[in-house]
Amino acid sequence: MKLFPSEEHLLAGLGEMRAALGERYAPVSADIPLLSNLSVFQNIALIRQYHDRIEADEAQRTTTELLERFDLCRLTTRRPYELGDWDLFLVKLLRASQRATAAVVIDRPFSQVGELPSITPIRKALELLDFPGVEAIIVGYEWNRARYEADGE
Amino acid sequence: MNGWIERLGGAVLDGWRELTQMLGFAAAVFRRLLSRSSYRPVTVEILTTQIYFTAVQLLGFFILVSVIFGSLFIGMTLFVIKETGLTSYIGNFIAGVVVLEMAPLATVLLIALRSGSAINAEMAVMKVNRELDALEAFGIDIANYLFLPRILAVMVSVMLLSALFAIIVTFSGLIFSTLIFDMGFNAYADIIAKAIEYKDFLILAVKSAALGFFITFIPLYYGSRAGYHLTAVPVSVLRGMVNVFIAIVVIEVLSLVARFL
Repeated sequence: MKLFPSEEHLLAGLGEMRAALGERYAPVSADIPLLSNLSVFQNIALIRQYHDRIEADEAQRTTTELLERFDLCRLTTRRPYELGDWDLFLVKLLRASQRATAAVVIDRPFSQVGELPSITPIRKALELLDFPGVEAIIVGYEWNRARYEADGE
Repeated sequence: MNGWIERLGGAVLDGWRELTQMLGFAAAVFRRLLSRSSYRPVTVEILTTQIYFTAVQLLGFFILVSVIFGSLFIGMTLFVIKETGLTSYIGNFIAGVVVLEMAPLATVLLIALRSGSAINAEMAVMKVNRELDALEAFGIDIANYLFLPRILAVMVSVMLLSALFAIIVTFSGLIFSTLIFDMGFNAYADIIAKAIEYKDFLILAVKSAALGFFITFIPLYYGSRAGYHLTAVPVSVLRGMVNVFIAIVVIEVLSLVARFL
């Protein structure tokens, strides 16, 4: 977790992280949206279909497994505009996890999912991911530290 | 006076810079179009979907337009040919005007109005929504992922639909030749076969492919260069479509020059 004192510092920090992580940089951010003309399934599958050149069958199998693990199969064919904040966040997280040895950078999670009481649901989602080589970095503000350190759903 | 000349010169230089930049990018995209490594299974999926949107969905309307417009055009022209005593030029007219000029032009106008404008708007909206930034953030090359399948799909669609238009209108020519000149199938087929050369098919294919490339590339280019505000969308579509029109005129002129060289 990296907390910054102001937006200016945070944006600079994100820029540095992006430069340092290179191809591993996998953002989950309000500024990096899902593609609106693709379904949830297609948004997640696209990353490996493009980078690993996997065929449609393999994309179907791996993405369905992932959606099942997060109990999100009901969203498979939905478009991003049909999703609530939490589902949208989870789909972005799953998309980010698809980059090989990804460094998932979660940018200001409380601004993405306003109704979250604490960081715990996000930590649980990250535990569910548990891919080899995938690490996660949560980025936020110092003044919000209490919410990042609080426990509870 | 000097200020006016400066402004004019500045505008010409800006236009020239923009044109060279666009043509440079077009050349880069064309090189990728020919490179096998640019394609992935997901690109082929998009290619198939885009051919469906561009050609298959349009097919019914396209056939209707070809039959009505083509028959009307060829019927009227054959009637004028008969009135002016230019009967011996029927074959040259059908091959030169209908197959090589009218078929690709009518096809490309329909596709540019329907798919070109849609592609331009789609790309501009993706830019405004920062979806192009999202692709870049995940290391997805927009030229490979968004440009290539759309360009290739429209090139294939224009070539196939132009051929279909030419076939429909040539068949209409047979009907009107029978009605106006009392000409049989064999005589008509003989005239057409003598008037059309292999070179004509090559010119038709190259011209259709070039038109297909530019009526897709230009909307993609202007769409992807739109600003980040919603007001940038109509401006981008306007600029893209005006430049598509200019490109169609330029390719038409170049193909005419090529035919008579």
